[in-house]
Amino acid sequence: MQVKLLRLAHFALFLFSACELTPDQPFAPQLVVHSLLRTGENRARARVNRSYKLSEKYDSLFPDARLKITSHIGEWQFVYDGGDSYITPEPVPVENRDTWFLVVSHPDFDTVTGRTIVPQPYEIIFPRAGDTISVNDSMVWTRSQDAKGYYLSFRQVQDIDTFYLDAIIPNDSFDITYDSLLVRIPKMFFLFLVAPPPDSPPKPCTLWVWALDTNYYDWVLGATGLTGKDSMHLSGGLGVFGSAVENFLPIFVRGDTLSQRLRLQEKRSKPVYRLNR
Amino acid sequence: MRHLCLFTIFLVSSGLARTGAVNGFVRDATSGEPLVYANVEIKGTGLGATTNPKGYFYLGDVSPGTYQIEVSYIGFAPHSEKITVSEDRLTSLSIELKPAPVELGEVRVTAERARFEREVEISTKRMDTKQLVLVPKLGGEVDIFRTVQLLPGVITVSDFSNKLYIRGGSPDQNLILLDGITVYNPSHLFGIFSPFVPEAVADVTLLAGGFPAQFGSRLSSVLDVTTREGNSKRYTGEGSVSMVAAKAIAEGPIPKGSILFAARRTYLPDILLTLFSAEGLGYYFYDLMGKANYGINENHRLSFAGLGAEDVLSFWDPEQPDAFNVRMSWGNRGISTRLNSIFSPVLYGEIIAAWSNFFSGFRVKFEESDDFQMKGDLTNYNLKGNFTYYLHDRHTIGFGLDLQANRMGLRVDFDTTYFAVADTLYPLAAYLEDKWEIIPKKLILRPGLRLAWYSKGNNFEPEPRLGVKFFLGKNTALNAAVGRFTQPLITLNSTDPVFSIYDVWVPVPKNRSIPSAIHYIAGVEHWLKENILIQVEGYYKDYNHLLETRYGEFFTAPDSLLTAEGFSSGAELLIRKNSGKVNGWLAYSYMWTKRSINSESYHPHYDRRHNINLVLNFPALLLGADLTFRWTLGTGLPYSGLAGYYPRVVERPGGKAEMQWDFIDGARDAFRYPAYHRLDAGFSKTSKVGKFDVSIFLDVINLYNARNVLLYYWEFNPDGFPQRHQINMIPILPTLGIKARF
Repeated sequence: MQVKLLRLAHFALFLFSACELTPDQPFAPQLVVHSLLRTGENRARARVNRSYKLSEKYDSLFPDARLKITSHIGEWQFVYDGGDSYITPEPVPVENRDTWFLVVSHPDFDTVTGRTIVPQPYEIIFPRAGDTISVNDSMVWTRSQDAKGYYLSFRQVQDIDTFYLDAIIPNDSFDITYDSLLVRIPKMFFLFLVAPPPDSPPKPCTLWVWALDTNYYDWVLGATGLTGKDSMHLSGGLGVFGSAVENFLPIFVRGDTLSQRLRLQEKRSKPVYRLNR
Repeated sequence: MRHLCLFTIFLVSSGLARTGAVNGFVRDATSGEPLVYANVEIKGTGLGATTNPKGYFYLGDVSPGTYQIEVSYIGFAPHSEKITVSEDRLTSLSIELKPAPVELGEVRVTAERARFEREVEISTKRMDTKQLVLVPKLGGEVDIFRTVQLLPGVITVSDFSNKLYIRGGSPDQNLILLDGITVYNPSHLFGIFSPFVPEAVADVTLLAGGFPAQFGSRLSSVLDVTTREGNSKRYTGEGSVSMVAAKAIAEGPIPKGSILFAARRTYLPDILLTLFSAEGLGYYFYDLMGKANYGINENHRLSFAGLGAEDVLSFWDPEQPDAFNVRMSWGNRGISTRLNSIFSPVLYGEIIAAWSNFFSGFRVKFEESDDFQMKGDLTNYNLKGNFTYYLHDRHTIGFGLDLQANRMGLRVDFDTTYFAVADTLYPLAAYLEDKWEIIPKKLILRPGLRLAWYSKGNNFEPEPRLGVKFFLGKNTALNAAVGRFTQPLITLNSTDPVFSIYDVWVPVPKNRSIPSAIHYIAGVEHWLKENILIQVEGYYKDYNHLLETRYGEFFTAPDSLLTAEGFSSGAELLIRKNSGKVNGWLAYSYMWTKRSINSESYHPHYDRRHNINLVLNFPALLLGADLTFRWTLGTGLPYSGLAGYYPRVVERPGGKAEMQWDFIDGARDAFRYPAYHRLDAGFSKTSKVGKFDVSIFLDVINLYNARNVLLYYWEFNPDGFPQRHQINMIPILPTLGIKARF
């Protein structure tokens, strides 16, 4: 009887334990690349490292990678620039609509390749450099046709390293005010975070806008953690090879309250836009 | 239409020929509430029946003569009376049973026993109010979902979730009904409580698989909750306070009927937020339930039921509350009207018209004007007709219609503009079902067919069903069931997150196949003693065209949902003792569930291999106090862990490139948490204080303070190594409460 009980106990233990084993997760380290080509930049830069097991310690030095970028204009090799940074010794002429290819190799890892198409140019219509804006103003710029989205950044000049306001805006047609030629932000209510009190003098800020290609747009969006698995658009490794077209202008942000604006609006008729109604 | 009338006339006339018949209702003598599934037997004839959910029974083909009719029901003294049956005459009875004293515990099993003998109820578990409130209570609040989670085949993924994962199905595969009202998101406080006041509930029936043709539009199960009808004899009331909420129930007679009203509101979050000085943050939820019954005449009865439940979460600027505030609210509301009619002695029917609405809102307000608002809702309009035709006491035919309209809408208002999207789905179904005891006391068959049509994609879905019961002896029966099930509504949110506010329901996109499942179930029921039932069941569930969220996404757009195939299989054991000095149940579940998306296969995060629940109740153990224990052991659940990490550089406009750490996901749900175990204990003592029955209860959750893992997260320590941290589920948590009843 005792033997039977013992066997039963062993069997029960087996049942409960056997299925709880976590299988070993296969892990093959890969190269991790970050390279963003920007119009107006002099030399191309890249950072190369690798992925690590959870039990491994990160190493900030990664000197043995070989990188090159090519386009219809020519080919540029990168040189090691310390840490895990690489840079082209020569200026790289990044032009709108050009297609660029990246190849990164390392003796211990799979070769990484990527491709980016530089978005088309665009122009910020409002605000203009030196304008004073408030939360109730719109922002308008011409649409960059190849861009997947825009990366906006407002920075206070006095406090540039510690306070900034970033926004990612898709370049798709979901926006109800979609215009194939223009992008509008109808009211920049988020500026109330950087705006001074209503009676204070305007604050100097800098506004940057990047039109991003698909690769870098997905990469930035992935960093927010709001999307699922990243679409890295690289083969053979992790990271991003993307491109951006930059515009920036100095502006001033003045204080204003939404309530003042809303009281004014009550006297006006409200236009209504409908979709699928 | 003419054909339908002729058919009805045929049904009405065919039941009364040469023999007599007996019909009637069985009700509680103290409250007038119908007694569901009471056992009715004509002694010496072998004829017997069980009452339906409205307390109605019919016995046909009774030879003329004088008989003794016996009626018994759980917790009530048996009733016996002499009746005379005449040829071609219907003898109508109205029987009232009186509650039995505790020492008559042995009669409490008769109704369950009667169902065993007369029904094909595979994978069906039924609990009444007494059983629902039996288990120790979290925060002093009884929750019917928490009790249902203790049944075999049902698992939960955390202490903070009341979602039901039944036989390897996700929560959205369960049809939750409250008096015919479809409830889409039955949860409060991010999933900790359900929106039903248990004391107002008469009966909860869980159909864990192979359910009859009357039910459809879900792949896994049906949870059918019926509200009490209210006391039709006298006015009574009940009030209770626990650490979480206060609630009140009032009921009483109205002319030709009864009425019941229940309400609950939380206050614990308010207290906690005040204690922790969380100014500018508020939260509460409330529940309202009501039911009214009106007897039009002896044969027709009308009832109205309603549900209102809402969670409200708000933030505001503590210094200027009117200048800036945010309010999030979501909840369920619904009403139903039900007409129960005896169209003829052999034709019983119910017609239900129900409206239910799940709503969610998000509003950001600046001073006097609304600046941003988002409103979403899911509305269900349902017209159902369920009819039972009694060919004779061992043969009934059920048929009916289930006509629904689901409307989903989302509207966003932003200053001067708004946009709105809406979608509509019409699921229509008709069913026919036969329950026939072909060989008396040996073989019962329950074939059925449900024909469903879904407007989106114009899908026509036949759903054949079959249930079989074969008696091996007086106390033992084999059960089997097979059936096809389809589901036209799905959820877009992943069930992976530990906390979720609510599910987002949409119709299956018209270019996708309707998700379907085929259930194969077989089992044995055995009455070990008069009050001990043992049930063993095995099942295999074959899933097709499931639509799953993408790995790692909280929400996946309808067009991006992934098509998955899969299966669930398992075995369950239930040993249940319904009466005696020690009663309760032991439930064991063994389960495998797997999904395959393209070439990737995984065990979803609710794939618990072994699960044991033990509920023991010691009524009047010491000085009249009840003692209850509940112990759970579950093997580890899968989770999506990490395989590695890498430096992620992000360049910002006008700034430097910034490096952050990003983790590399392992395969989907490839890791498992440690085993889960928890012991709860409950103590309650009821005393008479003046006109009141006052109960004091003490519940201790997680008595030995088991450190069950809720989730893992990783951070980098100062040495640059990633380090795993864990957050545990509920620690030891005692709660005290008081309840008064008059």
